[in-house]
Amino acid sequence: MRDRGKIIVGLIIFVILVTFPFWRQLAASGEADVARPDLDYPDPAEVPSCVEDSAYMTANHPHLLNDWRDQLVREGVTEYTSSTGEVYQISLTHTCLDCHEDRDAFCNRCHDYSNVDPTCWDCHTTPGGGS
Amino acid sequence: MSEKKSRRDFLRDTSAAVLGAGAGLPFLATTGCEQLQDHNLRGSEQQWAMVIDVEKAKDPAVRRACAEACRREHNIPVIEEPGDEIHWIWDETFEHVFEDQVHEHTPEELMETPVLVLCNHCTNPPCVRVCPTKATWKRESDGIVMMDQHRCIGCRYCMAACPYAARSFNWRDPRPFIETDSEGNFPSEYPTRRRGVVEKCNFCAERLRDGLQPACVEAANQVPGAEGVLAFGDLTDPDSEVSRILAEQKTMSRRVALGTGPNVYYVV
Amino acid sequence: MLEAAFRGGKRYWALLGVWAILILMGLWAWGQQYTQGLTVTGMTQDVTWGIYIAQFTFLVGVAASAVMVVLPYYLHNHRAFGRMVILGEGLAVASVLMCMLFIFVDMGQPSRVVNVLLHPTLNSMMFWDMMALGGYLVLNLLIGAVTFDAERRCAPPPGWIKPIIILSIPWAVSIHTVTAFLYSGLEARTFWMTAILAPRFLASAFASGPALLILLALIIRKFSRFDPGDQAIRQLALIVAYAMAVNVFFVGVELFTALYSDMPHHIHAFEYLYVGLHGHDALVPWMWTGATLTLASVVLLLIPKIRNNLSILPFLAVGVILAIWIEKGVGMVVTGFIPSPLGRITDYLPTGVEMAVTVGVYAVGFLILTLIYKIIVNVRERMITSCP
Repeated sequence: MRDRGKIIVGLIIFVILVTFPFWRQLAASGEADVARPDLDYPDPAEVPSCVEDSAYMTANHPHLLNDWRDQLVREGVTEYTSSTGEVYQISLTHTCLDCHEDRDAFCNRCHDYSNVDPTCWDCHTTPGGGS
Repeated sequence: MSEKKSRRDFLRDTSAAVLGAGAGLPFLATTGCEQLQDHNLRGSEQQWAMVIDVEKAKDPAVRRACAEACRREHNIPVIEEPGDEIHWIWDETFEHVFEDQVHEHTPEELMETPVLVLCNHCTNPPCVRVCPTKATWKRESDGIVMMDQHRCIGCRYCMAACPYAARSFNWRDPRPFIETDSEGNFPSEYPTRRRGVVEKCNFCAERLRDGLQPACVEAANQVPGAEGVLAFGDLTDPDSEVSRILAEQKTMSRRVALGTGPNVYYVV
Repeated sequence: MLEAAFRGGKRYWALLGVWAILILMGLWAWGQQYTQGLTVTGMTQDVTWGIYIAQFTFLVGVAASAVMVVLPYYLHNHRAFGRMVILGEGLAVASVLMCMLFIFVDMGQPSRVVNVLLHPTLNSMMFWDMMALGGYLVLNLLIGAVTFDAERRCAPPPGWIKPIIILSIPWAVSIHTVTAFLYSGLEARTFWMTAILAPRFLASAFASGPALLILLALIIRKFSRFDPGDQAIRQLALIVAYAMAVNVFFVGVELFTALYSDMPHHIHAFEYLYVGLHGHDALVPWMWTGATLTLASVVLLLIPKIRNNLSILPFLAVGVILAIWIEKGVGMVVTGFIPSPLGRITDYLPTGVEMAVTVGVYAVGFLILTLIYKIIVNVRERMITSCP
């Protein structure tokens, strides 16, 4: 290969460019460029806890909702027992939205931040039948 | 490919092909074949059924009440464009509903009688048999033929298979066509559907869960003079109202010869 | 080998340009459909399958017909098909791709199509159709690539490809059989629920596919130095002739059952197609045109002097393709929905959007076909001088 030198240099430049987001993040000492969005939580006096704890829900709420969907729609199971032993009604509109009333101030803030567009609300309604 | 084929080569190649083709044979065992199964074993633990009194349902107020109650309970859109309309329960003339039962001397009045029609939640549903994703399936606990709107891919195979035209496809986004109140809320909290999925009567599974009767049954029976026009109950329970009516009165169901086993019956 | 697709003259690139423009139009139209819903098509609650599924049904037949060259050549060492087989496999690949695309554009929720794989349902013929079509695509790509590559290197193909080739033979029959089973197991639709539907599909497939192959072979012969050979073309014509004859017989048999029994359920569909039903007669001119084309082409094809005349043969091939396309692509799908289970007759006419998407999908298929054939022609043209 006559151009071995040029090829290797080109490859190295390419690898650097392609991994740019990763090492830039590392160099910024672990802090994100954009601040994590502030979410409006329900009053802890009224609602002491969610179905599961915050950390679990943040990471797993899509899986939880999918499980709930299959359980309710396909199995006909109406109740969910949380890890703390509490029993909840399986319902997106009620169990979730009765507490997290304002979708814009809660759901959409994180979803907009992470550029995620779940289609739940194409069909599901808010309590009272709102879209 | 120019070498002469030996007998061994031929046997080897053919058995490979047969093995490959034979790998598809197991599907034959899974093609339903409900008719060949023991009558006592097929079906579900419970089977919801409906009996419609055609005479009492002649009153237009009854049929209006049914359609309205269903529409409000399930946020059903009202789409004017012919061919796009969605209906879960509606009426057609006797002549078309019981096409295999009428003849040229059937009185005109009977032929024109409006008859309520809806999904029959068949015991042997062809729609369930053909759905490629099990987005529609017959629930074992109570025999309702359910729809999972999350899974439906909108292929409309179930609509081709349904002998009763009971299913409707969302050719467009239904939300603009759902009646809202002054605050912009839908009639109920029931999830609306999105364009591209099929829907049909679900025997008000969400109401049954709370111990209520289906919306159409409740509304129709409240029309003055029409008490008992719609009966709803569990066929596997010999003491239920539907079982009693079916045992005592002459009833019909639609296209019986097809073997689908519809669970909506008509007192004519 | 694939780089051969990039070597071509002005006409070649112009042709690719034409396909590209049609594909872009189809994409735009499908975008309309995706955002607004299938309401932009002519389908309704009564007629829920239309031109897309009809084209899929027609093209599955064309795809399956590759078996008509593969079987004689690989199973019986029929040397005359030596240069035709690769063309047949290329046509099969392009056709199966179009089939899968036509199904995809017909879906109400295309992004969920993967659900068919995530939730396999063994009692659904549509599931098996997806498996069969996908498998057939892979088989033909593999067989075509491996055998052609071997030929290019003037070497015999590797031994392991032989059982795969043998497998493709029953597989070809199965793709069209399972497509027929989509229709023929539905008790709701008497027009489709006939045992002879699968044999009919195969007979019409073995007429339309080889007819298209004849046309393609003649076109390639005209525009390049690749020549599958007069003998291969004439033998394909013979296959088309017999397949058409069998097809006519099958249609006749269906007509007899319906007309002799005089049963309304069976007669209605044929009435709708050939004389009109309750004033709905939009398809009548189509069906009589198809019937005329069918009879004329089968009679002429059965006369050896005419069939073997390579100046007349292209017209007969076009006639056969049109006739079968009318039979399956126009007359078969919509008629299953007439009348509806509640006795209604709803006319169906594809909209502009539907036709644009249809043309776009066909353009994708022909683009792939052009690329594959260009590779074959380019590689082959070099081989005429270089293989020992």
